[in-house]
Amino acid sequence: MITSLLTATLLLSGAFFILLAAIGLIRLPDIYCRSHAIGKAMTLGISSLLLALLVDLGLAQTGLKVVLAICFQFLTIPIGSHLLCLIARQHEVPRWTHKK
Amino acid sequence: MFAGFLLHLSLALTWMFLAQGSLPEFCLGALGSYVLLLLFQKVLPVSTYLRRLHGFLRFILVFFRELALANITIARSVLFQPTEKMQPDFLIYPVPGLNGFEIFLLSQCISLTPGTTTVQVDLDRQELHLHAFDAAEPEELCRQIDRTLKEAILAFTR
Repeated sequence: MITSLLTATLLLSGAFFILLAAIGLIRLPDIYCRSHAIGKAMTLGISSLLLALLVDLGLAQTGLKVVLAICFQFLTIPIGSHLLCLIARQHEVPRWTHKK
Repeated sequence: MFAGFLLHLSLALTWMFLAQGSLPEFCLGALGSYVLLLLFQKVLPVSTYLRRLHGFLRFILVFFRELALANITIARSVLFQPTEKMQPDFLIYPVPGLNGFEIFLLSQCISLTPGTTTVQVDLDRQELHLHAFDAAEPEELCRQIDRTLKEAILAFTR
């Protein structure tokens, strides 16, 4: 009972944060702001989904695999958003500012 | 430092093999041997290791608190903030005296915490170029990173 409730909560919040990243990608004004939405919301979203898997299947069955997968999310997604920003800056992609 | 880590690991592994289990027993063994190390820290060379372990655990806590805060902030600005009120800008965050691993960890954490993303790492001049979502007060942002993340990272790497 508690396990399924926890799984449902984690799945829903994970889906919510991934949806948030998608909305942010459309709504925010320039590439640098968009990388904020992708970097943060995506990491938490995917990690919540993986945690839901861990809770549902139990530690004995999934073991270290899910934990390792979560660690890789934390390692790779920030690097991805960092590199996107870096390349955008090197190519001098214009930054959004207020129109005076 | 290294001796303490080896002692902790071998105690936990011994418990795991004696209990004939796997990951759950390993965690239990790590917890139990942590209590043992705490009790015997007067006679064992583990005080540095324990200090850094505590630093590491606190860093994990700080990191997850900041991650949750970051997502609440980003959710609020994505869903409710009108575009006219945003003030995104670049800012420079100096990191004097940190080694490569510490800078890597810090830039990684900055990307995951409220309001800032790392754009460029300048190892020669020891500074990080950040992009802030709300750069109305850049000094306040730098001080906030100093207070939370940098302090927590230095507590376990030094």
